[in-house]
Amino acid sequence: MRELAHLLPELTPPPGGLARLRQSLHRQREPARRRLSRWLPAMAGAGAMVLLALAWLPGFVGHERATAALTQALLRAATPPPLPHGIHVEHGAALLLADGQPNARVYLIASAPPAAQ
Amino acid sequence: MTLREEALEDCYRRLERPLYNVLYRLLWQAQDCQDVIHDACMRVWAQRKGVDEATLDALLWTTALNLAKNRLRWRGVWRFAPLDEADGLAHEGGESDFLAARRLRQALRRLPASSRDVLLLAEFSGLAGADIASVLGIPAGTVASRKHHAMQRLKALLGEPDHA
Repeated sequence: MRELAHLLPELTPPPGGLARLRQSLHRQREPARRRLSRWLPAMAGAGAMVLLALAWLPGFVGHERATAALTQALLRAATPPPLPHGIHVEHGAALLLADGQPNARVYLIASAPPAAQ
Repeated sequence: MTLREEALEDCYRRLERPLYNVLYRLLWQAQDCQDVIHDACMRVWAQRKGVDEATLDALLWTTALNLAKNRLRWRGVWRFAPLDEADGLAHEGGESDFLAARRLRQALRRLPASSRDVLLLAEFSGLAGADIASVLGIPAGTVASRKHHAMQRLKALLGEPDHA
């Protein structure tokens, strides 16, 4: 007879505990080869993904290199030549125009809009 | 000296109910209690080669109580676990049972942990005083006094008359 039965009533554990334990013990009993075979499809899938990535990577890297080279060449072509005599344009660009007069220099100056600054 | 699966299952059948009752008064969550009992069995099974079936019950009690204490420590760090005091103790009594369960939980929490463990084991485990001492790792001579002290304190906290 428990002394505190009125304060600490006896509870019934939820069902299914023993079945869960049996299942866990059964899983532990399974030979390692069978446990491995359960993971085999996932492992094969992962391996295939790795192979696919390896096959795709060289093409991707080559394409990226070609794109980068083309971008560099375009940038070089689009950049105007530096101005002589240390002339520098703030917030814009200048291009020396050929006008045929020996003692005069004509520049085409474009300033950048405020948003681009 | 190797633990047999049947012996572990027998032990589970024998101890599930008392373990559940003790653990529930520590964790206040049915699912947590079931998990702790299951995990304790699996831990004992993992070291089955060194387990003597004669001391299996005590080993399972010790393992389960340690796992429950670990869970309580984790709850102290991650304060997200809701307690199902209403499910476990107040089945059909409605609000009054819910409040009674809540008061009981608060009263048990206010007991010193060592006395509370002795009280719960003495109430539900069916173990003798010396076995309780061995499970909790305390001197055998202190079991009776701790149980008495815990019982008086619990009754006082719950406003119960003391007949002792």
